[in-house]
Formats: sequence, C-alpha cells, structure tokens
Amino acid sequence: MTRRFHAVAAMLAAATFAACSKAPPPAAPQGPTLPPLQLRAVLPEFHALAATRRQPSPTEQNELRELGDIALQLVEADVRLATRAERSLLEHPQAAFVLEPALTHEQVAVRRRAAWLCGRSQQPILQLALLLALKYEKDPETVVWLADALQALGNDAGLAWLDAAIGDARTAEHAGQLAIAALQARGVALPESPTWEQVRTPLQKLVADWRENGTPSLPGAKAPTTAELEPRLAAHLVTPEGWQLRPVDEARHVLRNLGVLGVPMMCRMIVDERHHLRTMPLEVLANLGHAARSAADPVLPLLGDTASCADAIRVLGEIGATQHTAYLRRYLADQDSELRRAAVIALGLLKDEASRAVFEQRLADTKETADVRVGAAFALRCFGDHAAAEAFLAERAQQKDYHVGVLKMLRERLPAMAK
Amino acid sequence: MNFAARFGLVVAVLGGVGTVLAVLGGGDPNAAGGTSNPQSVRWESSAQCKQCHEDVYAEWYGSHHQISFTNPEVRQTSDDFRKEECMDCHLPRPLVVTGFGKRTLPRRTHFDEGVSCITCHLGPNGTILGRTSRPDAPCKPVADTTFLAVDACASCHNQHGTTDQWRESRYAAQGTDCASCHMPAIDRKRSDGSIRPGRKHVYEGAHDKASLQKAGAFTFVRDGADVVLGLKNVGAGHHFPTEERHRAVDMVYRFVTASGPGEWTRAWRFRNPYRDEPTPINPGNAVGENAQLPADAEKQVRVPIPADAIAVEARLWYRLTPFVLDDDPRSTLLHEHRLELR
Repeated sequence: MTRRFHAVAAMLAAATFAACSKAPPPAAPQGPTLPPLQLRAVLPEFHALAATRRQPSPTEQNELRELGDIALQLVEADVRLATRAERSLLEHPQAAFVLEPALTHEQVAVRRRAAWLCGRSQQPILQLALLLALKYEKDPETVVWLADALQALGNDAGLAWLDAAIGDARTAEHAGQLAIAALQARGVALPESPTWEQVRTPLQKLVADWRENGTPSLPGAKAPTTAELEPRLAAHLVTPEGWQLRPVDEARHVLRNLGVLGVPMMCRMIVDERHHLRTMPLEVLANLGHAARSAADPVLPLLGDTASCADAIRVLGEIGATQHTAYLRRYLADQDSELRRAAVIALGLLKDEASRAVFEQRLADTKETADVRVGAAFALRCFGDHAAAEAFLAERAQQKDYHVGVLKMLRERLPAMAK
Repeated sequence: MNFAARFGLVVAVLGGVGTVLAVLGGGDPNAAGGTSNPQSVRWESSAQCKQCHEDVYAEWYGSHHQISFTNPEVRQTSDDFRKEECMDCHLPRPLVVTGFGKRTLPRRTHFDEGVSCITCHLGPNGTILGRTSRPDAPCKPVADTTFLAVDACASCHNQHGTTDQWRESRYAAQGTDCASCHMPAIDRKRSDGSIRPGRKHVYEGAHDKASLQKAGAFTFVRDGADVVLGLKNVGAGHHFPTEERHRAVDMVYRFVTASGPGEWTRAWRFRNPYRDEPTPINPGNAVGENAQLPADAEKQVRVPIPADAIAVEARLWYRLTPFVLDDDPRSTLLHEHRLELR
C-alpha cells in the first residue's frame, strides 16, 4: 500500500511539476541554445573613431586647392602645367579633400571632371563620396561619369548605374562606350561591334554577381585601408542617434552599395545598447542580402533581444544563413505575429524543408493573421510552384484585402527564388 | 492520515512548488526575443478593438494615423518606404516596446493600420491601457494614462521638434497638452446608454482647415502709406507650421488698380528650410534660418501702397509642400481680406 502510494504520488508530482514549470504553448521546436548577447555602448567608440578621420594640414590644404583648381579646370593653365597638376593631385593621398566637394560643385562641367578624376585616382576610399554624389546628381550625363568612376575603383554598383544609363536614350551612347571598356577591363570578350544586348547581358551578370557576393570583379581592385574606411563608416553608423533623417538615409545608401566593405563595421554596431542604433545596420544587412552572409554569426545572438529579434530573423533569412535555421524555427509558433511573419519569410527564403509542413499549416489556418498567411504562401512559393499558395496570393491581389505594395514586392521576388 | 488525505497533500504541495517555479522562471529561458503574455488574448490589431469600440474605430479609420503607411504623399516622400527609417513612425511597433517617449521600432505587419490602437494602448505584459480599469471588459483595460501624455506623442512627433517647441511655449506651463487640441474630450455612449468621458480619435491638424484657421490670426490694416500684413500664432501650442520642413504658410497680397488686379506677391513665408537649401526662406532670413512662427509670436510685414492702387487684397495659404501653386489641392486658403484704398 505504502509503496503503491509513493509510486502514484511520485508520478503525479512529476507530472504536476512538469506541467507547472513549462512555458505555455509553443508547439514549434525550441532549437539550440542561443549564444549570449552582450549589448554595450558602441556609440562613444564610434564617435571617437569618426573623429580620427585625418584632415590635411593647412599647408597641404593650400597645395591641394591649387592643384585642384588646375586639375578641375577652374583656372586656366597650359597643357604641361595642367598635366603635372593633375598627376600630382591624383598621387596625393589626400586628393579627396578637393575632389569630394567638387562632386557637388554648382557647375556641371566641374562635377563631371571631378568624377573622372576620382575614377583615375586609384583611391578606393572615394567610392563613398561617389555613391553620395550619385544619390543626389540630377544631370544624366554626370551620373554616367560618376558610375564609371565608381566601377573603376572596384565598386560594381557603378555597373548597375551604367546599365541603367544605357537604357536612357540621352546617355545610351556614352554609357555604352564606358560599359564596353569596363567589361574589357574585367576580361569579358566582346565582338568588335557589340549589340546593346551583347553589352548589357554580361553587365547585368556582373551586377548580379556583385549583389550576390559584394566583391569587386575588376582584377587588381584595391580595398580602402582600415584607417581610411573606418572613420567614415563610423560617421555614417552614428547618424541614427540624431533626429535628422537625411544623414541616416545617406548612411543607408552608402552602406547598401558598398558590398562587403561595410559589413564588419555594421556587425560591430549591432550590439549597441541603444535599440535605434541597432535597427539601421540590421536593415542594411538585410538589404545587402547574400553579400552580407558573414554577418550570420554576429547577428544570431540578437534573436535573444526583444527589440531586435524580428530584424535579426529577417537578416538571417535575407543573407542566406542556412546554418542557423534551427534557431529560426522556434519563431514559427511564437505568440507574436511579427515574429511568426518574419520567421515564415526567412525560412522560406532559406528554403527550409523542415519548415515546409508548418508553412502549409499556417497558410491553411483561417484563424492565422493575414500577414503570416501571406508570408507562408510566399515561403511555399520559394520552393517552386505551389497551387494553393499562388491561389492565395492571387486572391489577395485581386480582392485588394492585403497591402498592395507589400504583396507586389513579395511576388516580384519569386522569379529570383525559383533560380 | 488516510491515503486520500496524504495523497492530496503531496499533490497540493508539489503543485504549489511547481507553480511558484513556473512563475519565477518565466518559462523557457531560451525563448528570449519571443514574447510572453499573461492575458489569454494577444492584442495586435485595431480590428480587435472595433468589436467593442466601433465609434472610436470609425473616427480613427481614415485619420492620418491610420493612413500613415498607405498615404500616397508619404509613400512618395519615402520612396515607397525604401527609406526604411521612415517606417519607425509610419508603421510603428507599440510604444511600450521601447518605452513611452523613446523612439519607436518599425513593424512589418498590419500594414493598413499605420499608427493603430495597439500602438498607443498596449501596455506592459500585453495589457491594454485605458483611462479607467475595467476588469469586466473583454480587453480588461488597466488604468494608466501614459499613452495620453506628451511623451507618448513625442516618440514620433519630436522627430521634427514639435514637442520640444511645445515645451518652450506657455501651453506646457499651463498644462494644455497635445491631446487638449488634437484629441479633444468628448462624451461617449456605452452600450447600456450611460455616458463615459472619451477623446476624439481623428487627430485634426495640418490636414484640417478649421484647425489651421484657428492657429493663426491673420491681420491686414492700412497704416499711412503702407499696408501691414500680420500673422500671430494664437492657437498652435507649437510652431506654425510645424513638423516636416516642406510645410509652409504664405502671406500674399496684390494691389488692384483701375485696370484690374495685379500679380500676387508673397510678403512672407513661414517655413523651416531643408538643411542644404541654398537660399534663405525670406529676404532678411539667414540661409538655413527657421522661419516658422513660434507659439504666441507675431510677424508683421509692411508694404508701401502704390500711387495708382484703389484696393489691396491679402491671403493666407497653408501648403503641404512649398513647391505647389494656389490651385493645387495641397494648398489650402485659410483667410482672405480686402481693403479699399480710396
């Protein structure tokens, strides 16, 4: 009797204990233990780093201004002097001091010449200034010069602008000539008189490779030195601390078009204790896609941060972090639909076979939120054709009962996923 | 003690220990990033609120809070939200996530709800915040008016300094806050016919002509050989205009001669220039100088009367963007005057 009592009591006690100490629902697998997250104050460190950007001495500034005035043809000079001044400027490690402001000069001819000089400078740090100039330049011909300079410094985002300029009748001829030279510099064989298609097809292939890898295709292209690059990137990455949106927008534009160069600094910033400083680099990493794949491990601990979790899930999906799918699956059953939606889309992008059945369930569950169901339909379509998922997305588009822009953006991504 | 009693005691004691452990432990320690919610319902969408608060929902629906993510003007300015930093305020997660008064985070769900009921009313641990505690109501609101405080609005509306402008005005000292004007008190009827105090959820402001007209007192008088146009910020507890730098208020005039009216001329523009705008807003302003009109401030512009003028007309325009003309729907005529000069 006593033994039976103890056995029954122990079983019930164990069951009661287990039932009471367990967290509510999550039916999804809990996954491996997350690496620890240690948020800290990165901002002061980045402010200090931004302040280390070297300015030329007053003597150097005077010298550079004189060289710049001649090289930019702001003053008249004989050919010999002009050639020497141009060479001296391009060889000067602080050439950016005059070339950078010249990219926004009021005279269009000066801006074009400044872009051309940047391209010839072999100073890859000028990529950042060229990218900013491209953001605001309205003159189509100057855009072509800027784009060409960018690609000449090893940033293949410039090829995308050249390709776009070929599509514009006003700039097609000039952009085409520069694109041919850019392709030849990369060892692409072209016929003597190539058609537009023969130029644009390899150009677009290089752009696609750049988006996939974020590394230059130009043989011998140099990367900026750490001492040059870090102060500038730090200055961009601290901008969300202020209230002005434009510097943040500029930072985003530069970092998004810099390939892999900005990834290490962004990975340092995402552990800042201020949530708004983590958000922008996380969004940029997501925008960079596979080119930012090296961010997978630094981003992973942020799954443990309530404020950044949804962004971290998104990043891991967008950058192709297939090694971390086990960590992501738990969010398919989270109580927060924000996280469920982020998880279905991320795991869909990662084509996670193990989650496929959950996607099917989410799509079929009429009590599930529209956001998650649309995400699940998108995820299923990432694997290829899926009649029910396509029908669901088509129905949303037809009935206009889901945000039109978001739906369109998701559907536009599907052809690329099928590859 | 018999078997049943001993058994019951053991179960009760172990059950109690288990419950305490569960509460203290907070569930799976590795589930961080996910969220816990002691309430049975998770509040995520304004559609959930509509079931009981249909009148409030109807006011909010169509307001500039509701359309903050779908508004074509915003979509154009934000490059269809490719500028993701705009989403922080135009599609925010609940203020409580980062804390009232702190910057918001963007969400990527419920896209058509913009700034929703949940944005302001969600409290800690998934509760709903209200002006009174109502444990009997489905959402079990907890009395906490943090969501009505200026700090709550500041999370987004100080992006352009509006709440800072208010703090420097007499309105802050006298306790007239954002809600006093933009969410005026109204009586609401409960389903049982009783009345409860509530707040209007339309958020009238820059898109409401009546609110704009109340903000500025536009005067137009003759003073000897001159006419004097004047605008005093009498009704806005912040600058007029405020918020985005493209909002503008223009004082314009034209003289009428025997041959008919002349061209409209701008006497003064009230606006905060873009950071890199190369020219000042008005002659007399410095480049980059903010020409918005602070609360209670007044600006007068004196214009000499031409010899052949028989009358003069003046208008006050509010423009959502400074680049539009009078016939554009983004221009709103607030006041107009005519003075006979003969």
